Amino acid sequence: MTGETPKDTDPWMKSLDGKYAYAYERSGKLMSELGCSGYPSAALVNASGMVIWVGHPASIPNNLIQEAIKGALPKPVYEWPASASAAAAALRKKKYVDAIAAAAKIPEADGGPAIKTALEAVVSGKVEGLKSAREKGDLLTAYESAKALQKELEGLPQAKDADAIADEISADAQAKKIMTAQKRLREIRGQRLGKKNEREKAIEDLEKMIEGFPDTYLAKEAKSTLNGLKQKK
Amino acid sequence: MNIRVLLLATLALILPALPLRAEGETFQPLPQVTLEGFTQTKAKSLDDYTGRALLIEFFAYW
Repeated sequence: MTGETPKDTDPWMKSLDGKYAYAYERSGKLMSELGCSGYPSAALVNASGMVIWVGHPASIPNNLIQEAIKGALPKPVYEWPASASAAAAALRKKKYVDAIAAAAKIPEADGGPAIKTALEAVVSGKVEGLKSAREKGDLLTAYESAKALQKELEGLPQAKDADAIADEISADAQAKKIMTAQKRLREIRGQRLGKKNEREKAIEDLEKMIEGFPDTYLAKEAKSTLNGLKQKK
Repeated sequence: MNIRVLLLATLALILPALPLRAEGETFQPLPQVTLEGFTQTKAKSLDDYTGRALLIEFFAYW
């Protein structure tokens, strides 16, 4: 994705024999909302449409790539046949119950059963991702995913898994404290921290997280961020 | 002082104040933006990638 013009970009891409898809976004809104400030930068989006990593494209962790593709559709919707348009439209709106019902009506000759199976796999992948976040103690991710999935999976039996995790976390006072700290951790990671006092405040907050919530996923993540910050000092 | 030294001195003053690039794990919905001129793909919008993993690279030519 680039903020430049086709006049400049197309010949350049051709000269490098670049084969990948690209598009233009002149306002720079996407870049800035993701906290990216330099070129090249990248954002990894999982099959559920959540941005799970941002940074330099050369430093994407392999495990996150595996996580991102979990439960992904084998074919993008723009390659689906015309008879799958209702399923595609419901999928774009993240109405999974409607998408699966529409997929059931796609003729076998158009790959209807395969599309239906793929959609069911996307739903399973979403629920697995949610459970995995809960198991590793990433409560903020688990809670936010659960809230989103309560809507997206409405009408499907898997919605109960989302309900159970959202209810469990929201009833736990300690989990709420951890999620508040996780939001601050996210903020620190998204900040540029160019000023000394901003860095010092971030370090102080990270140390509090490590001391206040020992042996948690939060503490582990805070330690990693703290080490990164100290190295950049 | 030649121009090169002047530039290096200016950079040395500016660099500590430059923002650190955000890098690392996050979990946030992909912001809704309108992209134009999709090239080398049949996709017409980001919605066309629903259900797929996506790596978005922000690049500039030079």
